[in-house]
Amino acid sequence: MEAKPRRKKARTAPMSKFGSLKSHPFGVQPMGNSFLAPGPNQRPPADRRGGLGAIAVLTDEVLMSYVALEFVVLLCNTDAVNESLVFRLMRCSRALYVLCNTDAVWRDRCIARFGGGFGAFSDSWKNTYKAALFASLSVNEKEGIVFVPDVPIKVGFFSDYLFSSWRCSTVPLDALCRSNAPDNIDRRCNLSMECFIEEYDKPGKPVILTDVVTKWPAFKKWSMDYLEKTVGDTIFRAESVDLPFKSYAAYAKHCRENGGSFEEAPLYLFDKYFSHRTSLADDYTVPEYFSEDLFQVLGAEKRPDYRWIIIGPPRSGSTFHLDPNSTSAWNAVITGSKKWLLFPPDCIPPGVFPSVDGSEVTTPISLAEWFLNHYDEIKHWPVKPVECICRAGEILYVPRGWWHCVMNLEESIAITQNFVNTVNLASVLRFCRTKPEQVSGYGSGCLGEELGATLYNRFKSALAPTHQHVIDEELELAQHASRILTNDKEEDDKKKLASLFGKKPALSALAGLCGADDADAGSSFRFSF
Amino acid sequence: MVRITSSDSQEFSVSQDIACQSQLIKNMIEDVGDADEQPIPLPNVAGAILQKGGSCFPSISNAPKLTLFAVIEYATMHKDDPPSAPETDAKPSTSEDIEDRDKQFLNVDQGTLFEIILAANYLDMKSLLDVGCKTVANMIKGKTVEEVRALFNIVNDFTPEEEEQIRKENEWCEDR
Repeated sequence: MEAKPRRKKARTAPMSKFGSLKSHPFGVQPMGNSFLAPGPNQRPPADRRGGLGAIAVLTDEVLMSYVALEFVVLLCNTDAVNESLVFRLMRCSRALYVLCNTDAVWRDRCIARFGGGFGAFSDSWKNTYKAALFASLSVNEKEGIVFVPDVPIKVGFFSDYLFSSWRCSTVPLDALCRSNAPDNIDRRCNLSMECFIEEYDKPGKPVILTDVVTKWPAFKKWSMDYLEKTVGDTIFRAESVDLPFKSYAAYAKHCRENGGSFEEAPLYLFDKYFSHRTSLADDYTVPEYFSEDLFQVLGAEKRPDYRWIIIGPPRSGSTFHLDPNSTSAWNAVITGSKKWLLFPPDCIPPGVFPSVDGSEVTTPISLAEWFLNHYDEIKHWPVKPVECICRAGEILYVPRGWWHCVMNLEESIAITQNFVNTVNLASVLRFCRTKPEQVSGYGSGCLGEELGATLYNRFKSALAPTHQHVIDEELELAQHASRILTNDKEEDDKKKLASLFGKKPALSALAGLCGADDADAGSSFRFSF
Repeated sequence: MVRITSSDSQEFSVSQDIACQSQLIKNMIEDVGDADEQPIPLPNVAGAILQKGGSCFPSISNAPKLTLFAVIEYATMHKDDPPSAPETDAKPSTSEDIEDRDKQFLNVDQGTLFEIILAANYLDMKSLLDVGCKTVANMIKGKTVEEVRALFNIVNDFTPEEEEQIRKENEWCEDR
């Protein structure tokens, strides 16, 4: 019998090393695909030049920021009619339809216009915006309108900017973050205070404790449903917006039900007022290991922010950062699971570029983008970071000075607190004294700046009765170091200084070898194909 | 003085207060310091075609494409402006309130206008970006979709069904 000729299966969705990606709702493909001829009977994707005309001069990114910010730029005064021109632009051509409708910009627009009052989350930010807009109309105005929610049309378009973002939203998380890789962190239970201090706190070594959170009432009680029932109407902070918990819950549910691939960087609830606005703080106790809390001496009103409830869908998380004011932290997972990467002090992660003084950090916009483009670089590093997945019922200790990022692999509810104790006090004093403009946790505005600028002096005064010796030692060491430095003010001297304070200069040298210093620190950090 | 080079290797020498209306340049100077006196390269911004026999700053409307040049002229025009109030205090602005001098400045062909917007975005010059966007908004205001297409030379590549669906979805949002 003759073998049947093998038919090549037409590839319908882009392939990635992580498997087939979901097909883009507007049919966006990478720029390079424009070199492939469309198949027979296939409609060529939208032409950019023809579809944008004179506007084609703008990059996709700039045009989309115009869409996102148009409302902010053109906010009308109460008398004039508010003409929103983006709705007209998007009807002009397929290219403009895709660029003006990409949902990420409608999130910015929705929040800019409605703040936390956008109501029930629909199935996209654009539809949520439209629903909120419709709800704001008077009865008369509503009369003439037939409300039709958007249904995406697969018009086809080539754009690296859009496709890159799509890829970051949809690449499967477990493959992306290597969830199957073994953890390389200690997990302890029944840990004595002395052992914790000697083995982890003093040396500054991360650890996961497995028998603390499981005893909290929060662990037994909390879930998204429970929170919605008990604090559904309370306002919580999610990035730049304050909104009722139930609004956030509806959004989170949508993310979850879309397999965690609705957005590249889902809106993350990170709220510091939960202890004032709710009684949720009664459902947990600060573990004994972290009970020393020296910033307490400043008083509740004048201490930097220090406790947050953190809730987010899969793919939400925090990009690489150092915790504020040189403090240490603990992070307790109540539900869900978080992938952590932690780099020791002086070991700057790949794809992360702090400014010389450390005040600004340039890094890819989303965690997914970092994982796609930089995670593999670690394979070649002699120093490996700590990698682990912290699961429900576990608590992770983050020593001061460790660069870290966190990716929620599932929808997660967590509590985190930062603290100053005997072990890191000198370091915190030095930070507040030498970098008052980088002190954070007091909000923005004049009062915040003043509290930050005065933190060292206020802290010093408040600690004098009990910790004067530490204050004096810290100052002495700094003066001793500055006497060694005479005329030489080069960058190498900063490293010499660092070695005096017990940091490991060897790691800095390694970081230099691995090319962490010589990358191009542009402010726009998009991967392009 | 600060030296800047454009993508086509034109070099410009501008005073620091003018150059620092660009947040990008301002940050570069702060980070790097002026120890080296190296010119700051701006690979994303086209330079200028200097007019023959003109003064140092020929009128913008005579030249087809002078992006960095135009940007410098804008910055020079506005160098003595008071610093803008923080956003929370500022009255929300309409596209009507463009200063006359800016209207004149941006009375250029569409290509130049969009190049200026691109440059203002790259150089992080908020006031120029705002004025550019407002200018575009004013061009679109009051026009039908057909008229907007004609204005920017946009080709309508929808099927009639697509066009109708998108109209139904979006038309009522235009004037709110």
